[in-house]
Amino acid sequence: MVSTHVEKMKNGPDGFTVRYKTELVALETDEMGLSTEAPTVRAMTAPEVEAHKAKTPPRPDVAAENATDGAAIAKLERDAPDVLRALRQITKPMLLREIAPMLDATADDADAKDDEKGTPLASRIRRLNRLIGDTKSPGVLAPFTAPRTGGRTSPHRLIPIAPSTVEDELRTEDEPSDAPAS
Amino acid sequence: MESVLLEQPVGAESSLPNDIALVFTKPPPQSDHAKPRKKPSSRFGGLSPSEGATLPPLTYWNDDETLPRSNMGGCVGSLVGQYGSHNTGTEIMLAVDAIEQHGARVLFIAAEDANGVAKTRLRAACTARGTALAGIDAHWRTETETFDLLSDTDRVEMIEAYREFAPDLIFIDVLTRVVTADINAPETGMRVMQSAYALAAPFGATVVIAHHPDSTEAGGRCALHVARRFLSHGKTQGRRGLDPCREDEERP
Repeated sequence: MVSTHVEKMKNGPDGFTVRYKTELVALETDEMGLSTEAPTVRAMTAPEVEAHKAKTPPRPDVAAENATDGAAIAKLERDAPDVLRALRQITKPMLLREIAPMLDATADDADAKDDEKGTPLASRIRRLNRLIGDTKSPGVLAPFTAPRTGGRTSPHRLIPIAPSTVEDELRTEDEPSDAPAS
Repeated sequence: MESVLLEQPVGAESSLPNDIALVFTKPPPQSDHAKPRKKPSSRFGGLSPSEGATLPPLTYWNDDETLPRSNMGGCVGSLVGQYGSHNTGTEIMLAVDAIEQHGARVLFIAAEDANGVAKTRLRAACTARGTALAGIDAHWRTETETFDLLSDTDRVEMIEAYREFAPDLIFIDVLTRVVTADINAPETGMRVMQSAYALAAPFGATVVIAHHPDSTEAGGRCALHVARRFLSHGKTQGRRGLDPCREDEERP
């Protein structure tokens, strides 16, 4: 495939890309029996255009990824309930190392290993970073990070989540659809 | 302040409606400035605002609107792509499309690989389309002779040689093979622009200059930025490097 991008066109539209298809055309065979082929460029057919467009991944829904609505909170509660509890306890944006002590300890005794290595809470901070993700694949905690003012290397800060009385009431054990306890 | 009372002639009131009717029915006398100017004998003289506004809109040789059609004295553009990015193939496709759709006459200055274009590439393009080579004989010329774009002598000879053929589209493949100067120098860029327009103007043609930037994309930058009227970048997707069967013809 050949992409031709029209960068500039005076008095006309520009800044667009046209894609063409390349293919080899066999012309003849020589005395040795080898065929002579030459590349050609041609316009793409409608099915080829559709097939090419199908390869393009959909644009990310940035607004949905950054939303801090009930759905985002529900995801966070599903994947990291201790983080959600910690964010409901804080009242201002805090660094990951400040939030890490509020999280649950892991079952593999990672905290003790971190203490032995002299890097306390490192595994909890790594876990928070995994939950935040990166720009290409944001995690469930990404919407709850404060804007990084110091560039890509500045540390993450997590924003507080206001306690929701409705969500607290809708615990798994006493959801409205559950049968009343006898 | 003094006021002057003008004495009206007898019957002035009755002639006023007639004068008003005359104003709206009789065309006003044109002044010398309003008369349409004759085309100046010199190439200079410019356009008045009203003349400029009546120029025809930009049209194109292809449906994709990547190849403009000159509406006034020719136009010049560049097709920039790395080696192996199918610059020549794209040019041939644009040219044959223009022939098939608009009956254009194409001059292909194949400074890089005249033999390959004339013998193989054009034939392959026609074979792929199911077009007979003889069918475009009257519309295509492949210039195989060496050509210096910046040489006044070469340009005059070229224009004279193709005066009867009168090409609508002139492809120069590639820039570095027709310019014997430092294309990174700004003054060379200006000379390339002037020379390309000098080639385009006698025919009112569209001149497309193909160019391969070097690996740092610095080569020819000055020349192209001055010279272009339109600029397209070619890029190959899904395959990198040279096509094996094009290795000989595309290497600098």
